[in-house]
Formats: sequence, C-alpha cells, structure tokens
Amino acid sequence: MDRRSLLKWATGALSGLVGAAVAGPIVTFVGHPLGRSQRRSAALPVADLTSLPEGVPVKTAVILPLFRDAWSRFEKVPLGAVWLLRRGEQVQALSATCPHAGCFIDFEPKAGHFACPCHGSAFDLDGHPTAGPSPRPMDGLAAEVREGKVLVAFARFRQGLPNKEEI
Amino acid sequence: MLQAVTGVVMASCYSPSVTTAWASVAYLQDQMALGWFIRGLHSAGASAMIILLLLHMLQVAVWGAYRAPRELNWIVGVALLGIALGFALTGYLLPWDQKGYWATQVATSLMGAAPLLGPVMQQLIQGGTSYGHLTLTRFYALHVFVLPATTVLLVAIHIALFRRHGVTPSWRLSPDELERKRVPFWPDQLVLDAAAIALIFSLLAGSVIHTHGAALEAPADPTAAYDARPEWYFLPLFQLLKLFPGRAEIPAALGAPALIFGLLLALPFLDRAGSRSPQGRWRYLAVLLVLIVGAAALGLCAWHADAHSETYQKEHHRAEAEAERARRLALEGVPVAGGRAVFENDPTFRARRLLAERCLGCHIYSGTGEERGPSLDGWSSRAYLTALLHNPDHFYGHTPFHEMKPVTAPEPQIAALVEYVYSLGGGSVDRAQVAEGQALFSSLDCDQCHETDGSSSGQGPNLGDRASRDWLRAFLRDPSAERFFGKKNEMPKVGEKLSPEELESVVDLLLSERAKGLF
Repeated sequence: MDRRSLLKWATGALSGLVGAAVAGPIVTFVGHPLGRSQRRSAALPVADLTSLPEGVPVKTAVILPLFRDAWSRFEKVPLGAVWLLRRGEQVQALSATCPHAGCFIDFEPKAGHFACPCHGSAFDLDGHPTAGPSPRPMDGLAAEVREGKVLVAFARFRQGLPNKEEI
Repeated sequence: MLQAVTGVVMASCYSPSVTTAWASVAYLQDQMALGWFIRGLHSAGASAMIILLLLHMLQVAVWGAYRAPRELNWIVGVALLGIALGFALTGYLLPWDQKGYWATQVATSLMGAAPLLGPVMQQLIQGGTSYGHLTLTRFYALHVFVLPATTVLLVAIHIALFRRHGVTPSWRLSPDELERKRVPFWPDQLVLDAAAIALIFSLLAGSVIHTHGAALEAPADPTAAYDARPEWYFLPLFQLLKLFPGRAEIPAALGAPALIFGLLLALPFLDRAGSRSPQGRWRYLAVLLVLIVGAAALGLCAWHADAHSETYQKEHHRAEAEAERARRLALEGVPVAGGRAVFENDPTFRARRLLAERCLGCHIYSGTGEERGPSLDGWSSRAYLTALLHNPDHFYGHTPFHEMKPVTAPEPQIAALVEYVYSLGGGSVDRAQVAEGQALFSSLDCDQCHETDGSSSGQGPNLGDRASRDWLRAFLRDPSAERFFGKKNEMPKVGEKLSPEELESVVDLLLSERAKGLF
C-alpha cells in the first residue's frame, strides 16, 4: 500500500470510528420508545348501573385516575370513549373507535344502530357490521358490574385487520 | 457537527415551557436510553468548542493571519466567537434548573441595565418584564434556529474567504520553500484533521462517561436563594463584577466585553507593522497576552474563592442534595404544574397536605395551624417529651388533659424519665437510662394516672407502646378508645377518613418528626 492510500484508509477508518461512536448512542436514544410496551389498564369505574337505560347505548368516557406520559404525571386523564348497553344486570361495552380506520363511532337513535361518519360503516347494537368497509365488528371491552358500578377495562386495538389484535 | 447532531436529537425530547422544560430534561437525562451521554456530549462539546475557537484565534493572531488581505475573515471569526458565546448563554437556561435560571437572570439583568436600548432589549429577549414561557421559547428559538443559521452563514463566508486568500504561510518561509512544502488537502491534511477530531471526541466521551454527563439541578425556583455561577468561560466576567462594586459595576460588566470585542475587531487595522513576524508585532501580541492572562487570572480567582468558601461549598452541597431528590422524585413523572411540583411526589409532601387539611384546625405544625391540641413539630421526640414534662399545659392546656402537673425533678431524672417513655414506642434507647426512668415512673407517681400495659384505661392515657407505628395507626383511627383519651377525648377519628395509604403517609410523617427530634 502506498502512502497516499494508507492516508486515505486511515482517514476513512478514523471518521468511521467517530461516526459509529456518535451514531450508536443516537440510534439507541431515538429508538427508546420501541422498547416500551403498552401497560394494560385495570378495570375502571365508568358509570352507575342504575344510570343506564335498558337497551339504549350510552356513551361514557373512561377516565384513568393517574396517567404518566413521558415526563408528566396527569390526574384524571380520559383514555377514550366506550358505548355501554345495559341488558338487565349485564352491561356490554364496545369501544367507540372504529375498527376500520380509527374514527369515532356515533349512535344514531333514529336508525337504532351505530354508524361511523368517516367511511360509512354501520353496526347493529351488538356491534356486528351491517354496512360499510369495516373488516370486523366493533371491539368489545371487558365489562363487569360490581356493587352497582360498571367497570370497564379499556384497551386499544390495531385498525384495519379482520381480527381483533390488541396494541 | 457534534453540537448540531446531539442538539437535534435532544430537541426530539425537549419541551420549552416553564412547566415542562425541567421535567423533559430530567426525563431525557435519567430515563431515556443514553440520554445522559448525549446531553453530556452536547455540554462538553460546547466547552470544547470555546477552547478550540480561542486556540484557533490565538494561532491566527500569532501567525498574523488577520492582516490584509484577510481582515474581513478575522472579523467574521470574531463574530463567530460572539455567536458561540450566544449559544452558551441561551443553552444554559433551557433546562430551566436553578443554575441556568439564576445565572441567566444575571446576564439579562445586566443587559437591562445597559444605557439606551438595554431595557427594551431585555424585555424583548425575555418576552416580557420577567421570566416565563416566552423567555424559554425565545431562548429556544435563538438557540436552535437563529444562532445555528447565522453560524452556517458565517462559517460559509469564513471558508469561502479562506479559500480565496489561501492558508496563511509561516512567516519564516520563503516562497520557494513554501512551494516545496505544498501538500494536497486530500488526503494529507484531512487525515490530520480526522485524527484530531477522533482525539478530541475520545477526550469528550471519556470526560462525559467519567462525570456521567452534565449536571441538572433542581427545578428553577424564583423564591429560593441560590448561589449562581456561570459556565467556566464566563467566570472571568463574573469575577470582574465582584471587583467593581456599586455604580462602576454596570460599565465594567458591559464595558469589558465591549472593549475586548472592540479590540479584537480593530486588531487588523491597528497592526500596521511591516512584516508578519511576531517580533515586529510584539505590541499587539502583548495586548492579547495581557487579555488572556487577565481573563485566566480572574477565572482562577473566582474558582479559588469558591473552593475555599465554606458558605459556597455548603450551599453547593445543599443544592446537589436537592437536585438529587428532585430527580429521584421525577422518576414517577412530574405533576402537570411542572417544575417545583415534582416535590409533590414526595410522600411527606402529601402527608403535609393531609395534615394541613385534617389536623391543623387544632394542631400547629411548621408555623401554621391552631393551638387547641399539642404542637406536632418534633412530635414525641425526646425534646418534645422533655418539654411536655416541664410544661404539660403548653401542650394540653386547651384540652381536658390540662390537669397534668409539671414534673419537678432534677434534669438527669427528667432525661431518664423521657428515655423510658420514649422506649415504650420503640427505637434505639439507652438501656441504663430506661431502667432508671422506669423506677422513677413509679417513684414519682406517674403510674398513678398512666398505665403502661397498652390496654387498660386510667386517669391519663395509657403509655404502653406509645408512639409506635401500630399505636399511631390505632390512635388516629379512634383516639376515644379506652387506652388513649377515653371519655375525655375531643379529637375526631381522623384515621377513619383517610385511605390506608394516606393514613400510612401521615403516620410516616409523625414518626419522622419523632426521629428528627427538632423542636
């Protein structure tokens, strides 16, 4: 190897070393969120059973008493909305997020069904799709009634898939 | 380059507002993967940049490279030094910690004291008459947009001019010798540059790993005293302020930098010596030398004074302890109010708030509350019990227990009695004193009113197990139980209104008062 190639090679090697020494930590730093998994929320009280009318969906917010978002610590943070449907002593909870593309599903009292305003998906009271592009039924959430309180375990699911896959 | 890359990466995790700046930097520093390393590189890189800039200027000065035709390039270089100091000044505030907050206050106050445009400039840069959200957003905009853009522009001009005029050759060489020594930039010069960069980077990385990154102090607090110090490169100026008291201070603080920059800018026009040889230009180089030595001496003076000042060292350690506490609490997330609200994560803070809500209607604690029941400062510590034996009415004078008489006995006996009563609640005690105190307890007729078995009732409260954790829990839940205040009780059942965690935090607080013994 002549002197000139050696110098070129040395320059490349030195630059590469410094570059790697900087790039390594930076990739680790920027990739930080990838290592974090979603923490499942516990069942949270959302309503009194007596406040729910029989057979008519009611929208409620699921509120987390304490929530951490990166450096902040929030109290009483709304996680999302659910549609509650009382059937006797049982309550069905459906996520208000459309499984198609994530829009907010509304209830149309006149038609008596759920409808997504974005792409026209419609669902019956059990959440089964009756029209539109939604690949699967509305996402059901675990709900229970304990001492007169309705508790819902909130969760998010990946959109656009035929199967319900929790994030 | 390093500053730009680490800066951009950090900006992906920085939130410039009074409520979030400190919290986001604490998160970056303590919770993001390798955040401490990247922030450390940025901070150490700033210092390295200043050092290298000064060395470069010195080299240019000695070589006489500022002289015609390169005057303009020298001026651009001096402007770049100003920009670098601007970076340092604006960057120092961004973490919104005690250090940055107070040190920058000094800088903006001085700016405001300048004649004519001073107050307007201060208000503009602060985004108001005092520090707030706008101060941070403006400093941030300066630090990440305005100054970098100016730097790129000036560096481009600097390099373009450099390419036009070429390298300034050594004054010793003749044109023929120069021609023989000519080497191509690539790869001959570049390999040297690469080696220098690698060396400097290794030093930086080494120092960052050694110090575990840059310091982050407790969140900014306009109400807390703080002994602010600027970054090392501003220390000479800081020391200068100490030397010029009173009315001379402002002219000195603003005049000295103005004079130095003025001198540097004027240098190419002052120096009209015939040759570029340093011997012929010794006058100008001597002025520079005096400036450098003077600045170094001032900086060393400031450093030396702090190193030997007990007050400063004490304050410094206190600030470090507070920073450590704030950052530990920030691991749980900072409450929305931000900054100082991190201390609300402290269980004792919550307990204090509960105490204020539930207890201070009747008790005094840390200077607030009502004096119906006994004070809670140093509750049941030895000092507290001693005072109680001397003057029970001071504690229970407004309660049905005002019947207790002061214990009249020599101090050693009081101390033994206190040790005995203290021992009933647990904790490390002096066994001999406890034995003596137990004997005195019956010989001084304390046992006429107080039982010590922890269950039966008497004229006064049963002292068995008194002030232990279990005792406190049970007492707070129901002070009217037979073994506590019984039928004479006037205290509400506070413990029943608290959640188990809340009760525990109040118990912890009272036990810490007992252990502290400050009274």
